[in-house]
Amino acid sequence: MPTPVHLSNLGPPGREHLRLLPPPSLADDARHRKLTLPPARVQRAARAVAEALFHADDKPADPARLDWLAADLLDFMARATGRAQLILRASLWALTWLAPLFVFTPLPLGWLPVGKRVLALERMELSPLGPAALAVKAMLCMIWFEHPDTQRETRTETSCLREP
Amino acid sequence: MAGSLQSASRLDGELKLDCDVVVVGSGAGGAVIATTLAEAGYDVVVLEEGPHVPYTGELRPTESVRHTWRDGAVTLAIGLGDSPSINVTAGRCLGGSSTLTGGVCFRIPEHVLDGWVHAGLSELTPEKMAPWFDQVEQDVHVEEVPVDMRSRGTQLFGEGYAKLGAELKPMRRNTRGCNGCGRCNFGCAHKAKLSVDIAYLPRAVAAGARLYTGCLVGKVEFAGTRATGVSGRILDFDSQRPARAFSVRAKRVVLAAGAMFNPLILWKSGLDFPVLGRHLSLHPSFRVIGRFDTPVRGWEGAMQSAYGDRYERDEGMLFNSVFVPNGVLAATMPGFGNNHAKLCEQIDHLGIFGGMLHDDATGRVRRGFGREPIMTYRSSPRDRGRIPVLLRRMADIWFAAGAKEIFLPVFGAPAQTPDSMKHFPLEQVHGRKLECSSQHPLGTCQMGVDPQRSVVDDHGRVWGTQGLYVGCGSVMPSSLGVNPQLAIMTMALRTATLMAAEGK
Ligand SMILES: Cc1cc2nc3c(=O)[nH]c(=O)nc-3n(C[C@H](O)[C@H](O)[C@H](O)COP(=O)(O)OP(=O)(O)OC[C@H]3O[C@@H](n4cnc5c(N)ncnc54)[C@H](O)[C@@H]3O)c2cc1C
Ligand code: SF4
Repeated sequence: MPTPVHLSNLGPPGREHLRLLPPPSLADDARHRKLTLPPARVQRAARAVAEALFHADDKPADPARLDWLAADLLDFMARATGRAQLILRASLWALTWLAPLFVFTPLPLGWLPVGKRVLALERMELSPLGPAALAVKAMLCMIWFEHPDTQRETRTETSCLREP
Repeated sequence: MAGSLQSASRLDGELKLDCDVVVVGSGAGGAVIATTLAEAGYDVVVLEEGPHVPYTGELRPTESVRHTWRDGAVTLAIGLGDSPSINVTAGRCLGGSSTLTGGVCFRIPEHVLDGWVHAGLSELTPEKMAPWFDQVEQDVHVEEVPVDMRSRGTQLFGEGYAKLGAELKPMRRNTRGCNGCGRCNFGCAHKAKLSVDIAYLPRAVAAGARLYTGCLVGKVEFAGTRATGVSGRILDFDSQRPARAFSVRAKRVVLAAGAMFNPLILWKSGLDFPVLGRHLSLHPSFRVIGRFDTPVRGWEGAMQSAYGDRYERDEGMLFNSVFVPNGVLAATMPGFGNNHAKLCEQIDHLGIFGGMLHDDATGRVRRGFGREPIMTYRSSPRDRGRIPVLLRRMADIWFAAGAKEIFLPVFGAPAQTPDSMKHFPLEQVHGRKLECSSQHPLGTCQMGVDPQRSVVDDHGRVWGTQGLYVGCGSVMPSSLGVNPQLAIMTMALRTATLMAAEGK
């Protein structure tokens, strides 16, 4: 009996016998780049926003998941090329220093109690500066919802319509 | 002799190559040109800035973004005046943006081709283009998405659309063995999506092409007006910053770096044209989200399975089924803390659909600082006026489908009920507050018949030069109004075949 060929191993349509491009060697694998991470204060600033963003039912979010989130955001910044890091850091700077002004408190966001942080960020989101908040909010949400615990809690575990 | 795929960043010593044809960029256009010419017996070198990431489908979506999307997906075309700023996404990896698509394949609509013929491009008639389309559709295995692969979100939108008297049509996509995991934009773990790194580049390598990743092309080299090759910098593997120089001597050069980057390369090469970098078309796209009482789980299904073209021809509006990661849905929910969490509890109850404008191509790519361009976009009055019309239509469709609330792409705007929607001042919302995205930068090196109004002739040859061609989305003579990958591949196949016919 012929060995069943998995569709994902087939070559291009009409040339199914051709080999697909070989995967990169370990040394060429983009996952193994040596990174220069942004400074720790960027991670602290991201965590301060995340604590407010994911503060649900008047309860703080799971600290371990917040740590993972802030660290993964830094990894994202270090890997993404072009202007990504610049834009995310500018957005984070705006949230850290400008959002508190919306609650008349000229202190860095992380120094505010979480309730006040939420108010400050919501007011900023509704202001003309709202779009400045979006880059960081989007990235934090995307990463947060990739965590298996978030997916379980929100019933959003990945699943296909058909079995492979 | 079989060719090769190598990361230039890891090569020792100088990189100096000789070949018949050097192709800059390995995306939808570049891959087709490289394959066609390699199979016609040409010695082809392909230079790609990004890495080879064939496992992208196995990564988390944000991991996929950090490895294969340009600029971490935060690139903006800055809205001028009352125009929205537009988040423009593109690929930066072997296979280019083709690896990020939802697989949607449209032929160029006849009325668009008729317009091009009217503008003097007499070879681009629907009849003459048909065989090129047939060939590419066969090469990338374009098939209709069966109705049972539609996600529940798409089914619901379809029900609403039907109640308003129209019917969704099945999408055609370049897939083989799709399981409906709804994550095509982040790579397909099943290799069911036949992007050019699967459908074309293995053919190119089998025919002898040499592919190099990690090569950032800076400029085209000339002897007089004849292109003699390209030069640039190899990217440092770890920092991805330009490092060592490289050069490739070639009898012919094809620029296929996409609509955002080709103008930069041409400017750096000392060329300029009155319209270079202008007429950037983006197909501005908007998502409207419907919330239902029962679970929707919109990610289960082919990511883009159906479309509605009732308003395409006359009003330039196309509805496309889409899905975005749940985290992106969460990000579009207004608020922080408790308010945000309450809305996020409903994520599995949300359906999402996209609306796209056939725009007037009023954007512009400009030289920026460093290696990235600056893009600006000033909507024409016609385009700007159509945005609220499009959004109201999509809201009506969701309500007709039974949505309890909808979320508009307006920053910070609360959910709207059918009643509140009637009073929502959508027409007065400033462009700055609109959330708009584009995956289709096109047309900054337009094809045409007049060097004053175009950059390349109808063979893709850059005016006033010899041996220099453009073969990617940047040559589109106008906005298309439909997703462009099939159009780009088809125009590229045509250009490459005409190049091959010119002989070595
Ligand atoms: C998220 C997403 C979803 C999409 N979905 C669809 C869809 O479903 N259907 C559809 O029809 N279209 C879709 N598109 C659009 C489609 O993918 C693009 O229009 C098409 O791939 C563009 O082809 P191109 O050859 O012009 O450019 P690209 O495919 O972008 O290729 C250009 C390549 O050139 C490289 N490059 C740039 N500058 C340099 C340089 N200086 N040196 C070396 N290399 C360089 C880039 O890294 C890139 O790999 C989607 C796009 C995105 C981003
Ligand atoms: S929907 Fe189909 S083509 Fe898209 S990622 Fe899933 S299996 Fe692949």
